[in-house]
Amino acid sequence: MHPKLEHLLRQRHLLRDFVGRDLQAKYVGSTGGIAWAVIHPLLLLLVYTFVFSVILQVRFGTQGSVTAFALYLYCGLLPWHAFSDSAARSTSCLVAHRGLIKNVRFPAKVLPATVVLTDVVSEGIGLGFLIAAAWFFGHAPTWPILLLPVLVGVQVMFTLGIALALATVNVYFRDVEQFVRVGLMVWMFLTPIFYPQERIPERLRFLLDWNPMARLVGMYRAVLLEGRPFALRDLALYAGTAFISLALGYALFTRNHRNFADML
Amino acid sequence: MLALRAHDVGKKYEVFRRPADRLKELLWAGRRSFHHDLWALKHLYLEVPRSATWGVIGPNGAGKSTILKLITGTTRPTCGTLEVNGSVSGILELGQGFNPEFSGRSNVMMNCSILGMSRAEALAKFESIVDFAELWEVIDRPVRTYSTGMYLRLAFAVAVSVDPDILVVDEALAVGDEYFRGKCYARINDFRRRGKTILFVSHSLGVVRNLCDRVILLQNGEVAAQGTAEEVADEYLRMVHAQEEARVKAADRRGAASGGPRWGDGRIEIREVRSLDRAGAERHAFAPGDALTIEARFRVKADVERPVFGVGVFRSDGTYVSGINHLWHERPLTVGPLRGGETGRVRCTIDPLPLLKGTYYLSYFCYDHSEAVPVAIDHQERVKLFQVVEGPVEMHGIVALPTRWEIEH
Repeated sequence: MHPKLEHLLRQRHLLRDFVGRDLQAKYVGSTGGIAWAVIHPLLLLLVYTFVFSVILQVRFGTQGSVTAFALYLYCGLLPWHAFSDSAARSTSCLVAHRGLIKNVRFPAKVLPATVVLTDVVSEGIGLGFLIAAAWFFGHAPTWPILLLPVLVGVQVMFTLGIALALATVNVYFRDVEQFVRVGLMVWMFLTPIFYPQERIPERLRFLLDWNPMARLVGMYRAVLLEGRPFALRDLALYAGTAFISLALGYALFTRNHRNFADML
Repeated sequence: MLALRAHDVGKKYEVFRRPADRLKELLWAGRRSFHHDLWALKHLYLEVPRSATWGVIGPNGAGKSTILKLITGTTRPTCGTLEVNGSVSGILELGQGFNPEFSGRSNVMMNCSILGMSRAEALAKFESIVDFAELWEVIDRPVRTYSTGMYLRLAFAVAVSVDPDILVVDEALAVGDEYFRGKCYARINDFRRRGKTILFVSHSLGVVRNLCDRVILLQNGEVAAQGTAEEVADEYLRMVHAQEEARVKAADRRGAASGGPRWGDGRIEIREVRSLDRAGAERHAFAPGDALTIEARFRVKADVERPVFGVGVFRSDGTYVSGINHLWHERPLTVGPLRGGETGRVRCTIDPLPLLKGTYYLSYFCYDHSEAVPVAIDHQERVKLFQVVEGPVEMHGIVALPTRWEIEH
């Protein structure tokens, strides 16, 4: 077999094993098991719904009911959490596995990739739950839902690029972890997850155009809750951003990964 | 045919005093430098033939593990060329990638995967790995329930299950009890018999002497000597002795030994306990068989009828090795009465020193033996630290027992 191909194959095996273990660690070890994938966001959802919908009276969609709010919120939280959890965890993943990187010849990019894929699997579980809940409350799935895999695909590209970049930079500057934590929180509130984007004042709308996650959340809602396909322009812009993110992140990572063992 | 060839290989690390300095250097874009260079390895020339077993020894920080990392490929040389012909497997640190929450079985499979085995290969080797570690009863229990010994056994078993052309081993990894250590060495001997190339890093001359055809002695990142174990032994022992002397001296000066409890009625004050060599010069590192003189000065504050001075020798782990004084002796020595205002000096010589390699500390005390039960006058725990370095003859344990052997057949 060609050595390059063998290397790739090995990375695939490794990635599969790592993701499998990461998921097991997340769900199998605890008593609640896989139920946590649903219980955890559900509790969050209850709290957020109570604060934003019942107390602050934020409304989504045409019906303006509390359930509609909860569905919209959940639909926004799922991709956001998959993204932000990955970004936060991948920042520290190389440092956390420093022993491996320093002592074993090991394709380090498997580590951020593992983080991203694990979170996407968790998101998948949540999406299944969301679709069922939406159906129960009268939003039967329609054909645009078939576009969901496309969204998840570009989202993985986008997240992976950022994950690779953050993981790399954090090897040199450990403070990045702190910045990321704060940055993600700001980013979350700038993304229309807790409020409809129409509520953003006109003069601040440009923020949405520059926020790929806002675009992504919008597309998720279109496909899952509004029963319409997203605008092709939105997908093109997001996919473009995702491609740039992945290309830059990958380039940064591969140009530096030889130093990791020395730096950690 | 060479397994390894190094031509003027060097490895430089850039050391930044503070993380912020790295950022500054980045912002200056190479126009100013905020780091200093640390050469962990310089001018390394090696030609290791296939099927040879070579040892790498040297004091701490000499660059031993840098060589291992370069050969296994976890890090790259800064300059020079390094040729490695054949597959390499390195055992540098055990249990990397083990997750304590998972079962031994799951960790073994995962570790095999990390070391580059396919699932089929890992399954094929699983049985022999667990056989080697002798952990069948607990293999399905989480690794966090394992004792340290069990954990390391499992990790070692996985590490040696890879079958490379060139094996790179850090000897610190032959772990666990004597029985398992024997198994580890047997496995390494087995590699040798099958014609594999082995590079063996060690702190112990004895092990290298038994295993290696040739030894490289490193100091400060450079090859100080090369040859058979016998040829480099003296140089190595001298080096280690000097290093340990400096280390223990510094530790002793910082007061690593003091800080132990002190009690007694204080009629005599013991001050300045020193360890001296045969020539009477102060020393902190001794080799087995050297003469060690423990000297203490004292000052009498109030009359004491029958003072007895003594020393307690402890190993760094707290093991009480010996308690000695001049009264409980084959030829007892008595002193006194001592009058207030007097000063004096006590010397106790241990010759030959029967202690083996390790860190030891001394407690020093003075008791009044004029009563039925001796009364503490000045008892000071842990007043002095000293090191015993490896001697020219291989010996194991804490003490060298005086022996005479007869074999009939």
